[in-house]
Amino acid sequence: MCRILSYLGKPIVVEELLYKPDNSSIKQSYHPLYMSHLLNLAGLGIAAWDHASHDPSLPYLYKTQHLPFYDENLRNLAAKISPHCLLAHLRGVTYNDKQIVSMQNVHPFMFAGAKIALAHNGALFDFQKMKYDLLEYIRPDYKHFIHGTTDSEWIYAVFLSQLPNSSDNPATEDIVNAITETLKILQRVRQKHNITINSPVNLFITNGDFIAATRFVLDYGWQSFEAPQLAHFSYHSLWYTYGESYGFYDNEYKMKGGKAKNSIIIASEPLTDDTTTWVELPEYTLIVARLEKGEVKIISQDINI
Amino acid sequence: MPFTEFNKHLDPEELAMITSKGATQSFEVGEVILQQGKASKKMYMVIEGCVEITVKIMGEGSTIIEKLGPGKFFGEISFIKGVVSPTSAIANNQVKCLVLDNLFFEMLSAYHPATKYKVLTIVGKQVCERLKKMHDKITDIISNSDMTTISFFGELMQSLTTPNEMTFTEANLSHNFLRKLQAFAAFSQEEVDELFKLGIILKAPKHTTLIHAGEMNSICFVVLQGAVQSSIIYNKKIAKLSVIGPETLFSSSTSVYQGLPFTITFTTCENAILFKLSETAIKSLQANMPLLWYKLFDLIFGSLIALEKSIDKLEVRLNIEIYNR
Repeated sequence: MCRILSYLGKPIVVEELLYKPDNSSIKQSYHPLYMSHLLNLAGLGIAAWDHASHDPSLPYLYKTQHLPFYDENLRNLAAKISPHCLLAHLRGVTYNDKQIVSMQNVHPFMFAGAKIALAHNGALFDFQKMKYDLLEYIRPDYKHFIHGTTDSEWIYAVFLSQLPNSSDNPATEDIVNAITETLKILQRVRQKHNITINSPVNLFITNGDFIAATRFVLDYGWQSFEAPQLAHFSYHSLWYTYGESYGFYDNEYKMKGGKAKNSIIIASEPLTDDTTTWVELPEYTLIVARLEKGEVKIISQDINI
Repeated sequence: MPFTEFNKHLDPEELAMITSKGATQSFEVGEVILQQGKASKKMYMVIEGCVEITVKIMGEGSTIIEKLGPGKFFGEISFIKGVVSPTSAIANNQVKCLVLDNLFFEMLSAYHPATKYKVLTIVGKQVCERLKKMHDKITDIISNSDMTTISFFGELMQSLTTPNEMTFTEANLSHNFLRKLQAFAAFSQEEVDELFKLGIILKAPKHTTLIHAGEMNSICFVVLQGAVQSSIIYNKKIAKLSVIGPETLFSSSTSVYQGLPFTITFTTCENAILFKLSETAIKSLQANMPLLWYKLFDLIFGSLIALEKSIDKLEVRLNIEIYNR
């Protein structure tokens, strides 16, 4: 259910991440290695930050609700741009006619005027019951930007509202606090409505200078004993690999080692079948990666709310 | 054939059977027996020679992490967990290995379950020794780091939080549900019923410690609802290994290796409903229902391998990330 890829580091041609590795993001839309019972066919979005572009604090944004593997424009764009930071999201929803597949529901979300984007892998159980209780935690100026029907866009609005005022480039501590506070708000509102069913909240947040990601589940392991297995009950993983640069080395796509650690990929699943250069993060973990003097620094902590 | 550990624990008939049914394979110096990143459906025991276990982390150069001589096993993580090999194994000189594959274990399960249990116990003890080594390495890293410590209030909360026994009815657990548990897929319905007669159902609030540091009893749990975190705790600092969700068994290392002084702590990270087998229940199983005990031991062994995998990952992370500071 949804797949996310994020990258920060040396500029890289987007197709090296989206198309070329043997488990590339585009392949994950129709043939995911993990949670393979659910394809990710409800849209793709990318936000890509490039220092050399006009107004580099804003990303190239590309979204489509169509099948990404048939998208020639995306293929052409991916072969041309080489950002230093990328956030790509494939939307996966259950196969039924109640789902709304539209541009407004494609991640990453980035409100007009905001410089931070968010993508979400997961689903809040019984979101319709809790939705309007989230309004009190959302700043008035963000409320009218919510155009879609996803829980993710609401989580984005709550998250932005927890950051210090006019903070386009927040400190790591502020990001950590805002994410933790967002999760606490979701928990509080769920408790108010007696919602206790397992709901994954894997968030990817970036402004081009940092990537923050969570592997987290509200009420992990809770669903009715006799209930059928739901999609949101399954495995929502989070992996990263880091090193000098990502590319085709020694006949395989991988992160090249070396003294300098200039680049990091944080993703829902590894981009290659061979996972030995990847680390899987355990549940209840928050990770923040930043480039400091050209080096990737990784801060992580257990989420205990 | 110098089977070292096998000679100590198996009787002559069992040894003869393993010699006749198990395959052996020889490797030349420098030959790669297991390749990191590649799938392997075999577990090996060194009969002669020396095998180097090497690892490449995040594309860095290769590091030798262990040298294994006769009697030592390797390849257990990819074999049991069905994942790619996390390390490479290379013949350091002329090497001869006993090769244990699925077919061999299926044959043991069907015709010689007691022998399979003995083999897994021998491997399990070696895994425990390796876990102890890694545990000590991690406590060294933790003690020299400025990780945040558990607050006094946190400690107090944990000491006051205890699980309560409940009935199957109070937990809304039907026999039908228990019989369908994926964790017990290899058990017959009668065996699941027997097992649940021996154990108890616990309701544990969030932050309940189920297996404490220094636990000397053999106990095991199956998570039915909720989640449990495995961690290494040292000097009030916590390093998380993994989070265990429903239908998963976990146990104290003493269930495999009595008297090895190290403990992985297991604490609920959500409210949880658990099935518990106490040491008395386990002893009763061992004495009165050995076949059922062997099947349960397969699960205990699997949980040990899962721990081995997660402790390796934690070490990598502690060397990369600025963690819990």
